Amino acid sequence: MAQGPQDLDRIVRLVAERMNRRRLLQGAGGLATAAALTSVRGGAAHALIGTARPSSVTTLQEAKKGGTLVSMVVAEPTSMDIASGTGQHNYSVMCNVFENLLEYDDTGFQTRPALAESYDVSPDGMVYTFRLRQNVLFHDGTPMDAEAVKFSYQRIMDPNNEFFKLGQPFPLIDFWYEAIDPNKIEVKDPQTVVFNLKKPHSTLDAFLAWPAAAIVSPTAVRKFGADFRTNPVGTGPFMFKEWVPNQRVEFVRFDQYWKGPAALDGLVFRPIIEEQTRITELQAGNVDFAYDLPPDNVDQVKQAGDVHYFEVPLGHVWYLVMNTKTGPTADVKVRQAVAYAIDRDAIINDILNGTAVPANGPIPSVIGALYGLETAPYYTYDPEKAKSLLAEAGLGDGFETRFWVPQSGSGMQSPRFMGEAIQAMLGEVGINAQLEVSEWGSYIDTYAKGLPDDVAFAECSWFATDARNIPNLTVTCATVSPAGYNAGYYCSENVDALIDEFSRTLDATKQGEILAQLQQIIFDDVPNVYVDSQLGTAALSQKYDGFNLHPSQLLRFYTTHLA
Amino acid sequence: MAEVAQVRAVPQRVLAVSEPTSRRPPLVLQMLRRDRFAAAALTVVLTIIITALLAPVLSLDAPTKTNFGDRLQSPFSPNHLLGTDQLGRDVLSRLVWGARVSLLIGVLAAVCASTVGSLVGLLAGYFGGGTDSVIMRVIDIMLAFPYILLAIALVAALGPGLVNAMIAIAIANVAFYARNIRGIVLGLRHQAYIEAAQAAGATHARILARHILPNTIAPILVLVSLNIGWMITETAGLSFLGLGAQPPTADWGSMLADGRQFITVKYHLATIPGIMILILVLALNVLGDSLRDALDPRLRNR
Repeated sequence: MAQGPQDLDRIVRLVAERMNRRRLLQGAGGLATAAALTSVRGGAAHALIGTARPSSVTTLQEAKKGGTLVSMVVAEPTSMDIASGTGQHNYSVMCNVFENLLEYDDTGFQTRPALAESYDVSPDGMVYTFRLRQNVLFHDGTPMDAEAVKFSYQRIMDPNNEFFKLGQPFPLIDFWYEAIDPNKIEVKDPQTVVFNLKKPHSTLDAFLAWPAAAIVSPTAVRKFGADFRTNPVGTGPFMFKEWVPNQRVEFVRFDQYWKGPAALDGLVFRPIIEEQTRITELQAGNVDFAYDLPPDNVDQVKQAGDVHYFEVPLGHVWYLVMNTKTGPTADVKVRQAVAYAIDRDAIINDILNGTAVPANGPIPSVIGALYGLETAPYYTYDPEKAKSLLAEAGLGDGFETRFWVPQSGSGMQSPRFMGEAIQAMLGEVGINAQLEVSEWGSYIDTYAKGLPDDVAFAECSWFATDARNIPNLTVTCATVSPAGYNAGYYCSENVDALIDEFSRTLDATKQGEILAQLQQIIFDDVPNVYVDSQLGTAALSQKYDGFNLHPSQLLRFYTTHLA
Repeated sequence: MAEVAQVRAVPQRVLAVSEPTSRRPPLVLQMLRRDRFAAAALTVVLTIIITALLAPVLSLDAPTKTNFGDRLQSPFSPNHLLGTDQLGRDVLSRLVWGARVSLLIGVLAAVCASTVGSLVGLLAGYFGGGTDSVIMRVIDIMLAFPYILLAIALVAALGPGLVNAMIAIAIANVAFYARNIRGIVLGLRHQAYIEAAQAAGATHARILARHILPNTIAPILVLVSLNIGWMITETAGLSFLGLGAQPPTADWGSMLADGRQFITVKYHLATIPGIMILILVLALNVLGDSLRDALDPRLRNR
């Protein structure tokens, strides 16, 4: 077990390099204000800055105590057990109750120690050694230790574990944590736990910080069994109190929280699915916090003046999938023509009312910026070029095809209106795409089976916490539908090799070089047209302060307090 | 089930209709002279139909012409009398073209459902016995599902789209016609003139075609006129759920559904198609009621 100082040095250097990059990107320093956001709306690629509001108080101890903040959540949580979450919204809520070994920093996807005090990675990237924080208690009073960490990971990953996947597991757990060998998690002493990987995964830290791998109380899981889904016990700043299905989830402050107790007395989350209702409930003061606001209501919310407004680029990409196997789009010239035919600025500035930034590849801009990828060129709107490319491909008169669009869906923004806009743009260059709209659940099922011969286009989007996730799930040969979510059947040995190399590379500069090559291949081959990364939007009543909207959309209310 | 109860009483009414009426002015004119509501309703329906038919001649923008820079305009803005929608399309143009879709689908669905439903009802009512039991149990099963749920299930099986939505609505309404017409035929088949025709050796086909069918035409018309508004609402409902008209086709139901997402920003997008659906369906129902009154001797003589 090499834990020499040179390893620590390397980690420190790696983190420092990434941090420097981000600082550079922030340009002239303190731009994190409305002015910078205006330039995001104008399409400037550099303004990838969070909207951390400087709180009027310096520490939480000085903050005014009390208050029960009422937040909305975009859908009914499926379970209070963090490991059984089925969607982003579960994590948005439960990150207040559960914590991980690592956590994301305040503005991006850099990780920092949380329940782990520090950690080392072996030079080959195969061994992670975590030293745990002392005196951390679960809400049931039992101590958080190495056994609890081992238990928590085995529970979600080891099929032989007695409590394996209680309830419905998150479908991507196997993809995200595939590198971890659940049988080779060693407890060295109560404060030290060692993970031996099956294969290298250079951005594993981003997944260790994702709430799906939260540390749960083994005592509580053993006690409640399957009922853990209604009796969650973690280490977070808030404790579970009550879940009234379809009405509210209630948390109260945990006074023995290791960072010191939160200022708020409690939290209430109310599921509000209908977008317009979020706005009316916020205006009526029935909720103190609303997020994922409809783009055309954003100006109204800002002008209302009684809320703090937040906007931050999410780790998200929205793209148009093309059938690379059959039909006209099997020809790369036609796919390039499609990329030139789509006016992304019109979609972003008009349809989405500026609540997005342009994408230039499968890596979300907020993450790509860490590697200097945000300046990479992408296709600009040029219908004449599109027409001449179509003519070169022998399709000067255009062609007819079908275009799959979901009615709504997680991360899909305004899928119908964006679909109709793209349809109109394609029509301008002679491509007649018939829209077929279906409900989200059935859309995902049929999409996962892959595009039929006569369907050239479909819409898709992904959230990510690292650079590898989206390419790895959507453009590799192994994920070609129906095996995975590569519904356009794109398969390139070079892409696969680069993703594999990225997984084995720990050096941030080299990682950036690999990603730049990857991005270039994806640019040349155009398996998909990458349209935008969504800006997360949120509004907090001015009765409160100290909140920070994070690109993960995890709604961490620990630092929030009465104004 | 108020409609069912009303129509069950039809046999007497049918006899009344078969009396010679040639000396009076045509039924529709009589009805309109007597009933101002009906006249107003007819004017509304005719205006909508004529406007819809004239859509290609009117100098309107194409209903699918997008203009992203000009989106979400309020009514009475320059060039757009009723404003523009989320993609900058002219709302007036979409409303006029959408009327064609809503009316056409509503009428076609009503014609299909009434044809099939009446035929089924005719056979069940005339032959009775085992035929009747089998047919009516199937109809009972169909009636056991709420209409809209049945239509949604059918669209789910057929796939979304206007034609499929029309087929689904037609199928879902077959039971309504079958049950009503069967009741009328049951009353007719023991009339003396039917028995006389049977005694004279007429075939079943001849009796059905020459004696029974003509006597059911009037009640079928009443049923259709009462049902067509419901059909239009249901088409709009399926489009609202994304199962009917596929974008970018303009259709009142889908306009309403899309507009709903902007209700706190530009309320006209949802309210205008909503009001149009209300007006059209109300007018059609008033007309249907008047037609029933005109055809029902008990009410007519009052």
